Amino acid sequence: MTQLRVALLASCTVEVLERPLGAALRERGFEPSFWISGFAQYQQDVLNPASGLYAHEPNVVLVYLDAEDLFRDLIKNPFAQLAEARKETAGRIASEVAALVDTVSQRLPGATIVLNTTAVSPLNALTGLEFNSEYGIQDAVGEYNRAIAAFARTRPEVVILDAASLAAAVGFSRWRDDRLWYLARLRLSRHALDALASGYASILAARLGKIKKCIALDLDNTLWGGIIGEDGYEGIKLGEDGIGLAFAEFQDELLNLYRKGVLLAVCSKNNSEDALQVIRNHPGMRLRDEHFAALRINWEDKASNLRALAEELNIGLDAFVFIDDNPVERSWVKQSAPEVVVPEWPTDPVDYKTALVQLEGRWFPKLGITAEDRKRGEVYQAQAARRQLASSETSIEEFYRALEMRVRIGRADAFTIPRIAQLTQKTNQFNLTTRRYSEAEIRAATDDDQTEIFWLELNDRFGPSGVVGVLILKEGEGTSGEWHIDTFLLSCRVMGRTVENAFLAAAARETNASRLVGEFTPTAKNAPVKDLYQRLGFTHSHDVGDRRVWLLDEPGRLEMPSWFQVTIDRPAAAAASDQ
Amino acid sequence: MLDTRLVDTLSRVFNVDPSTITAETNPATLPAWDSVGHINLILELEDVFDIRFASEEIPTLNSAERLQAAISSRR
Repeated sequence: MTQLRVALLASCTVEVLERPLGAALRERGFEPSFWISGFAQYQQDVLNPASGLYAHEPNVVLVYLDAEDLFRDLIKNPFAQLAEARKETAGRIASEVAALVDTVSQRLPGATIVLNTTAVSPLNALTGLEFNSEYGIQDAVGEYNRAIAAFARTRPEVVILDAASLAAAVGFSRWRDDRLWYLARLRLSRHALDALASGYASILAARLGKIKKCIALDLDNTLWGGIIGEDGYEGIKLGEDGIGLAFAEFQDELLNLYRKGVLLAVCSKNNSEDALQVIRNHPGMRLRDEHFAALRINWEDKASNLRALAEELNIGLDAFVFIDDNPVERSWVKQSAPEVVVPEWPTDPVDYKTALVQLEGRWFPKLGITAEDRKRGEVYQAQAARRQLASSETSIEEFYRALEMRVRIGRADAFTIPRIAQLTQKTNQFNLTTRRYSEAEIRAATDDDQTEIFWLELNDRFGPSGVVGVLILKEGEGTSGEWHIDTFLLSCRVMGRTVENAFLAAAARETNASRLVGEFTPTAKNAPVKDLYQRLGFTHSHDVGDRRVWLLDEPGRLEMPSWFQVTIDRPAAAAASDQ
Repeated sequence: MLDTRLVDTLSRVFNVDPSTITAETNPATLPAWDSVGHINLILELEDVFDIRFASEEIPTLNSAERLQAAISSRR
């Protein structure tokens, strides 16, 4: 369980959100403790440094601002302002909100702040006049939403919850409960509270890396209609005709998940030749071989196949969501592989796409797309080719050489900071200390002279793996040349290729370290690197609780494996001054 | 007699053992039954029983017995 200290500030009463939000956060593996601002107290609480907000020392600040509060005057009398004045009002309100948020982030460095887009009731005095006359409310609220979104994109610590879209999805007449407004000054109905709770929880899960990595899919009556073994290649329903379109559009949406960096896998009971014929040749298929990171098409039980997929992809069973139309298979997997998320699945294929979109928001939320996300599927495909190679080479050294590995190592900069933070959030297995950092924290650390943040990018003959390693070194106080390894991690997909030897050897030379101090902090997942420092030639120094501390003098003698071609990336300005 | 679903909801919302809940249970006997707790309880009951209370009656439903009467009158 990850502890979360949550502060909740709002323009209306919001205490009632604590219950559904607490439940939604616990469901995603967080243990939240709340502090909630009083009715319409949010500005005072932000401005007063002695307020309960700061005493709570939150790492997450949720600021829920409702258009009906922000634009109260305009909504009360929509005939008082013309277009220009409305635009000005919206801009002024947005900059007031921005100023408050900046105050919060100065006083709570490192905290994540969540703002929201907002919507006003479409049922108001301007019905018919909105967009037809010089009067309007929706344009002012739209202007405000755009302005705070633009502001948030300039602040790494600020993210937006698109509450306006949540309200549209719920339906505005169900989003409000006027009884609660008049009795308790609450702008939200039970449906709205539930939608907001789930929306906030997803944003925080995305922010803190608690998201799933892979969707494992059944085939018959899931990716296409009918049973290939019975209905045959020409008999299955898939494509532009009739209900076949529901399956095709479901696949289109899966393709969007693939584009966002989610891995797709097949886990089905079929004759593999029948199924592969469809996947490779059927004109209605939108997903092809190259979109699947791994396939298990056989008559084994599905829980065993999911375990095999987890092993092949080198991810945990708890990183899987399993989709199958058959309730018997679902219940078997739930029972025999309880770590896997097994959502209920609609019986009518017309509902598949919507069910998938809901799963996306629930288990695969994203706040940004990195270059690595865009090519993750290809990377795993290349991985399969590497495994083929490994089985054909006779010695491990020959295998390393045959891979033609090229590493590029550089220091954190604006381009790499998001990926570095993402790796510290997500990496569990090859992670010596499992310290999680936000983008803001990494960015702040780059200004510190006694901290060095290195990234590592790997390419080989099968293609690029992108930025897959992070090393954070901190120079010990008053001990010139003694560097402490604060963070040492590699993405699990490049494990077992001696990349760690190359990375540490290069970083030690870059820092001119006379001594390296490494530590290993055990977690449920990082046993594979328990003996890493010993393997690299460090000697055990002492233990602090369950933390093992290791030392290596003269790390310049760390051996650089001869099968790597290494490039050190230096900023253009520095390179120019070297000449 | 209190409906078991009413007892269950009271116990779940206020995090107390169902056996402690009687017809006389009210905000004075249950510290968690404050104004926020009251809204939570009302929303939860509306969901469980699929009913809707009127705005003027919500503040008056301040005991298990009164809640039971309001629920019964809707069926």
